[in-house]
Amino acid sequence: MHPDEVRELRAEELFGPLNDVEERHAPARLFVRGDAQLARGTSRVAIVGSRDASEDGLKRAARLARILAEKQIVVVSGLAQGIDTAAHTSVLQHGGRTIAVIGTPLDQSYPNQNRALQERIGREHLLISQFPIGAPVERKNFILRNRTMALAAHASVVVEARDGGGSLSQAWEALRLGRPLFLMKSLVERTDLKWPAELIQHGANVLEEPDQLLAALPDPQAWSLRDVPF
Amino acid sequence: MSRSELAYGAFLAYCPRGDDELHKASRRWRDALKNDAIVGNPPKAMTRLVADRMCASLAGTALEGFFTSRTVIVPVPGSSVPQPNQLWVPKRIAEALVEAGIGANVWCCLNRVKRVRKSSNSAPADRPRALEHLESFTVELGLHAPDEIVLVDDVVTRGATLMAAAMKLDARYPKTRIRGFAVMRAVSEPAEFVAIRSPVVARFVWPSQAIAFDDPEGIARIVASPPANSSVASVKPRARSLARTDSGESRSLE
Repeated sequence: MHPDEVRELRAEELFGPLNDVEERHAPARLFVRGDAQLARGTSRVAIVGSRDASEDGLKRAARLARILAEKQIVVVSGLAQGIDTAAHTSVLQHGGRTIAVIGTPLDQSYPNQNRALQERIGREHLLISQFPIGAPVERKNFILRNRTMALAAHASVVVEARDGGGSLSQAWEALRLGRPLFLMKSLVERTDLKWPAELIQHGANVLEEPDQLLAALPDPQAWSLRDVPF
Repeated sequence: MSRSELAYGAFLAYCPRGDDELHKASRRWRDALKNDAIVGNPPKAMTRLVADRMCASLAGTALEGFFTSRTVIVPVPGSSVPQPNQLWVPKRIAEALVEAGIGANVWCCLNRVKRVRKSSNSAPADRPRALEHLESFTVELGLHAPDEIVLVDDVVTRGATLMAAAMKLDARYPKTRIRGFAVMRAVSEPAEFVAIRSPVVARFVWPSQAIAFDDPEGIARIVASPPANSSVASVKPRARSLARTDSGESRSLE
């Protein structure tokens, strides 16, 4: 990656003007590589979940990503192992567009085996990090990254997640922002997890069909209305 | 549960269906409202924009005099149990209205303690009935009963939330005049949709409580007996849901 490819932007420069609820956890600056237009005026859905996902979970993530790609909806994920990788990879296979919001500076990769995927997304799609080049990679970065991912997407889908997993911080942030949050039905049916019921009580929806998600997506032009008809 | 009708006002309208540019534009403004997006020129939060426009342009409309200097504005909770610092659009509308000089003060006395299904994501038959809303609210007691309360919501479709909120407050404040207000009301039929700006004052009426709460469509009728200077809107039961889709087995994610 050439340093000239990295641009530093404020969150509102990348995503458009933010209200105060959105500003609350928005990073002061973002480092981006690739097509920044993907982060504005497009419909964007985050697909997130466990690094150590099941085969079924990986298939569900890939299938949902394909459906979204076919609908010209930008898929946002975190380039982690497991669900994130399945989502990004499926989008690329089906000619869609994707944004990776990563927990490392742009010149580093985690996990290392996703370096080539990260390189391709940075070159052909959009790569976002809130951590400047040279910043240390810490565990808390990935929680902060998940909040930013919630901000970047109009809706979030949790495919699979463990108790205390990073995807939950994204889920709570999506609810705080007032954005639709969906939990895969298979996740809600698990009896060993307590947090799905808690998230549902606070506004999460159970995703059984992709049309539910499509119906809940706001028109992205709602953020660029200038001529007021009232 | 003695209430079977509720006077309410709305400033704007949107059409949940229809492919005309006007219909689509109305839904964009609805989405801007539900996210409190920064819109207009100069840009400001949608809730502030609405309050400023209402302040500047209500004279001579059905809504003139709807809010008075004694009106206590009570924001209606969302459909789920809130978390701290969460976007609560009705509260932001209420605060923006008072800041713009509309109403006396904001009183957040209604709480949602149990989730109900979101009306906007549900088919008509699946939408929460007023009784479900009623059981999911709690009311904080104030020191004095207000003379008048206007319940404020962002969007109203059939009025079940507003009606339930009014009934909950009736029980605590039986002598208080309670009405509802939503920034946007849904006009279901595209052919009946005329303009985004369409101030109205009307009433939601349940034919009877028993029918209301067991009504499979759950539709509140707006009857043609509004205050003298108001325009009247009509709502017809919809034949199908907005969110209903052609979900075949092959589309399932599971």
